[in-house]
Amino acid sequence: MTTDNGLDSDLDHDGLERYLTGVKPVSMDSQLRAETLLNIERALPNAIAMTWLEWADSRCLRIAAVFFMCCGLMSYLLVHRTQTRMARLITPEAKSTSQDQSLAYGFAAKTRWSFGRWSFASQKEPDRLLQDLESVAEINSDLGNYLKSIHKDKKHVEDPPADRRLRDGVDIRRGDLLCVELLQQWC
Amino acid sequence: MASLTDRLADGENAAFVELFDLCGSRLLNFLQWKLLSQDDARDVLQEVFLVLVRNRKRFRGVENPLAFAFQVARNESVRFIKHAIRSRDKVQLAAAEIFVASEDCPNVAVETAEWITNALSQLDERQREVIVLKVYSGFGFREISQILHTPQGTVATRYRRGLEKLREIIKVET
Repeated sequence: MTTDNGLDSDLDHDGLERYLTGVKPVSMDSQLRAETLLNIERALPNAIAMTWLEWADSRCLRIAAVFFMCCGLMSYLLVHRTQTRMARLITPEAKSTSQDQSLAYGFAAKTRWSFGRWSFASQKEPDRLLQDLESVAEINSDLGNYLKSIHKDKKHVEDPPADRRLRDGVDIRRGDLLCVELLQQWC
Repeated sequence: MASLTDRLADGENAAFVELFDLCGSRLLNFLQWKLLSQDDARDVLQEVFLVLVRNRKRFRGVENPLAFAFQVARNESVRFIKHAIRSRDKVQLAAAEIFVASEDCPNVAVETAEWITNALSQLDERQREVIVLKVYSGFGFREISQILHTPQGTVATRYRRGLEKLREIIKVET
């Protein structure tokens, strides 16, 4: 059966394909062609510049990422090592367990003794320790005065005042007790 | 002499002109059917070639640059539709925008073009896509499967079902 469009409704796929290909798609008009080619021409130098920027970006990012990873690793190793040594310093018999490390870390953080200022030589030099304590006093007058008063009186303080706190609100009692123990050991 | 893909990858302007002349019209036709709008198709076609220029290094490992261009065109059309602000629900292509009239018998060609445009518009988008790529862009099932990221068997099935549906439309309209 033939339709009004000249197409046999019972035709097979090939016949239908032939019918579909009987019409020709429109071609590109010259204006669109010219516009597109101009865009391509303009984009090419930019694309080359972009490639360099992308290259530089990717290299810089990689270098920065590696640099920060190295810094992180070094910091971790430094802190870990210092914590372990401080833990042994505080409790000489203690091994470098994580508990001791966290204790030491808490001690260091709460008394605000920077790792750079801390001297392991102070174990053998009580005066050096006192100097350190005085420097702590400059940083935090409450804690420093408290530690100095303990040292001056040679008094064994089991329980420091409960209301003593650092300016930033960190509880210093634990750090105080550790300091007292240190002072009693060394002085 | 370096292959077209190598020249494209190197950013040679003449290579892009060659690629454009090879597939520009077919891409425009394909995009018209994808977007159902001549103006949008023209915009997206320009964007497609800019994308190809920006990502020209990817031509290096491409087997068929034409299929790759169609792949990019399809992705760009999908992106365009996704971000189109206006509603695209009731867009109807005019046959004159898609097909040219034959010089021999213009009246018959116009009628045929209108019928084909109307029938193809009624097809499911995925079936229409395969038929347009096969019939009007001249790709084989293997290349179409690369362009659509679809298994070759699925492409063939869509094509067959699309033609069956076209035949049903003929029967209904007879």
